[in-house]
Amino acid sequence: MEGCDCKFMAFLVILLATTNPSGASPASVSDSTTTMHTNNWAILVCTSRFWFNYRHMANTLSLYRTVKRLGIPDERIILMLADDMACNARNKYPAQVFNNENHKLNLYGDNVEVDYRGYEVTVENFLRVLTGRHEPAVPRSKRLLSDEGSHILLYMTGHGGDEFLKFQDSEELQSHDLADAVKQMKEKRRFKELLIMVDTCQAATLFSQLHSPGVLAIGSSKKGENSYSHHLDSDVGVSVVDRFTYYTLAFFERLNMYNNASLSSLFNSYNPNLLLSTAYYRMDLYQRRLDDVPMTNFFGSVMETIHTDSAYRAIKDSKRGDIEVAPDHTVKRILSTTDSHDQTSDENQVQQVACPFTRMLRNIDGMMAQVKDADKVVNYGVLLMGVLLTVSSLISR
Amino acid sequence: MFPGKRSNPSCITGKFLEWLEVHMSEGLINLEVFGPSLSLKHQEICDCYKMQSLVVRNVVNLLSIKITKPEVLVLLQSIPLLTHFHVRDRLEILEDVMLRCSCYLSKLEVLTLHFEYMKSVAPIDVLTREWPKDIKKFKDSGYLLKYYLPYTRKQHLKVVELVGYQGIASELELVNHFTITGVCMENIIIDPRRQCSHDRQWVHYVYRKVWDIHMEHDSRSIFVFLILSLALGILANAEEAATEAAAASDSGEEEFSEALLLRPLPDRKVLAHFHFQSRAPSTNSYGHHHHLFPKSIYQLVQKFHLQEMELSFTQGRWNYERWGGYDPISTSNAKPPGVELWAVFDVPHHQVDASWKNLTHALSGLFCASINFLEDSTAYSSPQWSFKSSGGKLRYGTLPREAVCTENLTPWLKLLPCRDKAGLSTLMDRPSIYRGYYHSQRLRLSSDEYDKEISSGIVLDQTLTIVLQPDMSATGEMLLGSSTLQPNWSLNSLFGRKVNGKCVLSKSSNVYIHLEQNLLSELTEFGKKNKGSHSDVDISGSLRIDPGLEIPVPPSRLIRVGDNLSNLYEFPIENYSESKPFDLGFRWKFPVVWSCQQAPLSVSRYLMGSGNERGSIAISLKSNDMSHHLLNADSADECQLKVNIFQVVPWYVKVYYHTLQVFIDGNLQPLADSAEKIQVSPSEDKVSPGVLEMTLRLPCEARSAAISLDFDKGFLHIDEYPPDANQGFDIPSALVVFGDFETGMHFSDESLSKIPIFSKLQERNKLRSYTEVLLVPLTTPDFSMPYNVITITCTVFALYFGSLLNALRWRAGQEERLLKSKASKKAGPLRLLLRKLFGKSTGQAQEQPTPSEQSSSSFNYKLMVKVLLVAGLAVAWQYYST
Repeated sequence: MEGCDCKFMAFLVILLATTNPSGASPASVSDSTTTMHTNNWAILVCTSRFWFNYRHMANTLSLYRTVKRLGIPDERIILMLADDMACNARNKYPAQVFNNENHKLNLYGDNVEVDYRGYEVTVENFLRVLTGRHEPAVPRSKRLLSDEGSHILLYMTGHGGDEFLKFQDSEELQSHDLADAVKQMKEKRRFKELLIMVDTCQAATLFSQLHSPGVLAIGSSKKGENSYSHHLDSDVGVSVVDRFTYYTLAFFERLNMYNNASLSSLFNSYNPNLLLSTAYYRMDLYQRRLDDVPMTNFFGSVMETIHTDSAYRAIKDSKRGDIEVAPDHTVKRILSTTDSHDQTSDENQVQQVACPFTRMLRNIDGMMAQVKDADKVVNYGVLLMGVLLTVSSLISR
Repeated sequence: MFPGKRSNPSCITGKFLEWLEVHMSEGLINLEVFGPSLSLKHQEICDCYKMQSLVVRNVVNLLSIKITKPEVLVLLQSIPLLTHFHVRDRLEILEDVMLRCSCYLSKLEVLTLHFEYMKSVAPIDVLTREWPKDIKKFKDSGYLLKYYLPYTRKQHLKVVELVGYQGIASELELVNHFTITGVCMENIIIDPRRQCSHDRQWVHYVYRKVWDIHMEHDSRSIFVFLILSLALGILANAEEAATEAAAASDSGEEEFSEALLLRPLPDRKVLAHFHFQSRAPSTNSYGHHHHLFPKSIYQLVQKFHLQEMELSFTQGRWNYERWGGYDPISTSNAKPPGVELWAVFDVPHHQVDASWKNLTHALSGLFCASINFLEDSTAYSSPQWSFKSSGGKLRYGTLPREAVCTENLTPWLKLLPCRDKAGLSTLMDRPSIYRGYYHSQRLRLSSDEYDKEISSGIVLDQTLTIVLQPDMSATGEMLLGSSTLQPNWSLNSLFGRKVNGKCVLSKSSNVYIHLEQNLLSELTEFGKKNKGSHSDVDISGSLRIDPGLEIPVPPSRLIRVGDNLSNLYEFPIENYSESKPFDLGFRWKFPVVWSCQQAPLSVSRYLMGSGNERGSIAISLKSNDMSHHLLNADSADECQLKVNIFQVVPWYVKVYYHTLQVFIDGNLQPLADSAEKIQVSPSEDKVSPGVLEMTLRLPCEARSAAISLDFDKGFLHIDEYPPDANQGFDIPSALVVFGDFETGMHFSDESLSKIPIFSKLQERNKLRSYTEVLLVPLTTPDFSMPYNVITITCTVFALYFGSLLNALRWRAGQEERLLKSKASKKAGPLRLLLRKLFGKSTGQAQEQPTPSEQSSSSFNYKLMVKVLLVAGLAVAWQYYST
């Protein structure tokens, strides 16, 4: 009797664990801590159309320049710009975008690669990029091809409000949508760590629904606060940069790829008096201490290097035999395979073995399959049910 | 172990089989190995002469494959752990294998290739591009290729060792390939020792060839070690190999050439026309590997079976009146604003649409533009005859509002072998290019890869046509008191840069200045007035340009264009370098006024009508007085102009084609008289656009002609409106083709047609011009309206139900009491009411909980008993059943 109760309880616990949104966290946490940091990706999104939102494009391009300078290649940057400012008829400086009125730095450069632009920057496409659900024809340059060891920087800027961010002045991305997409990414093992950086009014509210582990979020302002532009360029005729991004860039311009500055030094560099808003950090989903995380983990592409004694160690191997492979190699390979189908099917198998209820059901199924006279069994079952019913009704009376 | 013979088809079910070896099996014909549950680790197929295909799919544990005699179809898929791959014998088959499996072989460490009949080196490219691990091990003497790829990142190839070097074309090309792609190349070791026999002379030849390659890329530190064995025998076929290599380099080689044509325009602007041509020989004779031709374009051709394709990005509109409407450049390089794409596919008819869709996606990824919007069937059409006759395999689409900027130019430049680092493309300073009045970047592809008989390969023409305004302030010194003086310019003043020599990979690299017929005649007249007579070519060979102009750099030759008497001056830039950059100045000595040659009819298109409900489109053609003297010579009596019109209209502009009217000189003409041929495919809502193709016959003496079409404006679904719907919707440009007129320069010198830019200028094309893009304002809903409606409806409902409830819940007695209390205490009715309400609510709160608690506890008791009973029964049942 007790044993059976235990089984029942175990079944209930398993049920709860699978339905709980963050229930799978213990397993995935151990996963994300063990997998190596493999590569860096950046998704930079400017969601505003129209010329007077020049500064949002300048914000995005500032970040683009920074991550490119710090070593993330163009093929791993997905740049989404909702409008064409550089060759806009109103731009006095064709093919150039500035984020400062001194016009020293042309952000547009000679080598910019924009992956999504104009009408393509929609909430749908944004969520497709995050979750990786594209049509088969979509080229690789427009996809986020990250794996479970990727660090992703997601930067968004535009006009927003309480728990939403406007896209192109006609659509909204809500905090629920964002949280849902991030959760899907986590489940599909599309990232190891994710830094979300948002420069918009009431940016902090956009993070309120996030609950996937490994996510770090920075917003330019708290709920009820506005994010302001930094200054106006009278030649260009509009404000050219937002405060939060301006000071972020001011921090990064002092650094290069070899610098060991930590994320906390970036976060501490924001001065509420200069920003005219309070930068908000959400760190409860992130396991590592920010002092230990170099900013190049997200804004650059600096990998851990492993030294080997000999560059041609492989030659020695070949002497031993053609086909022999060192055992540690195979182990590594198995660890780093990212075939998600296999992994999910494995998980299912594990669950099937572990769950006593399903085992019981399977036993019954097996027994039923062995019985030859199925009709008789059914008939007896019906009779038995009648007896049970009468007994139970007698007792309950 | 699995030796022996199997019948066809083989079926292996051994789940625990680890090693599969098939030797000398006569009966094995098709072998397929698949399934992730297989624990197969090593597979060896040797000497199975009758085998036809080997398919290996999803074998997760497979570590090595060894195939000899692989004249079979080998298909490898999803073998993630494959580390050893040995193939012997013919490599052409391997080429095929590689292309099918390369993306799955990320772990490959050892690759053995037999090098006997290798004809192309495509797999090598795949290796260096795709496989990050070492490729290191080779045994076997004889013709082997040995290369080390010490693992750092992509293309960090450092040492290449070629064993058994024979000096045939493909091997030379391989070395060449390594020197080009190997950014960190340190050593190329060429070892001809292990050949059967050698010839000393031949070794010298190899040495020389390799050395040439070395010299070409001397910027990189390449050390070529030749391990020459002196114990060489004499071999007859070494000579043969050498001649074969030489022949191969002569006939089907890749070619690249660059040219820039500059032309002063009458309205004080300058036309700059860059032309780059890359040419690849056909795959059958040359293989898949290229060192000059861009791989991405080659893959496009291969994947989508493109016969012809043209993609243009244009900003601004070509001014046909001022910049010329009757020359090769305006015909082929004046394009409608935005993106225009058309392609002819060499696939069966039912696959054309699918190919087109995939092509648009691929191009949008390549060129950073939203060309993928052309995927939608409402965005493209298939013109039958007016655009280009193509047998129904042509698709045409335009995006009139697509922005064109640096991000489109950058990938376009990356297709050039020298990028924008050397040669004429260094002039393309982004701000100065985009400051221009007109900017059209074009990519034209033509291939006859799939023509079995005569396959000359793929030709890729890239042109950039810009109209720039020279800086007027620089001409201040030359004003001569006249405001009509043209501005002086130089390459440096136009582009802000100079040319630092040619791109070393290009076959020809020249700058041309083109002076039109009208300008030349003006200059000559002026010269006659001043001097009497002159000649612009000295007999001695040194060229002098017309006295009205001053060009500091002497041109190398003067090319006279036969039929329209214009002049081309050639300036080769081969002899210039970084220390001595090339800059071309152009100074006017006296003011000249001239006009460009016009098209017979100038075309414009406009909208008529007002309001958001209906309107009409009109295309008007105005005579430029050219047609008379151009055509009258041939047929004086029945002089008629043929004009083709091709117009695509989006579905939300619902054109009524029966309202088509033709006016000639303002008089309405019956359609049957003036229209020779009309083809209409009406639009279908949300499915396809409307296409109008027609041929008009106009009398030569007509001064003007116009056609008009009425339309209704449709409604879009709320999701279909773009974010800036208030701006209006575009109707793409119409194309007008003058069937009787052809453009194309004629050169007396036949050798010129070998230079790509001249062969393009020589092409006889029908004269064509594009009309303006029309902007149609459609009814745009106020998108905040739904919210307003929701708000107001909710308010009305709240008011209605609130008052109704209030009325229903109000008790008569309460009202009376209220009135009484009002009468008694007139002082504080509000306070009284509040107190009453407060008392009422607290009273209720005290009263309510007690019964509910009782009921809930009794309910819980019963429920508990039931639950326990059911649980007990279930437990008992399970206990007895097991």
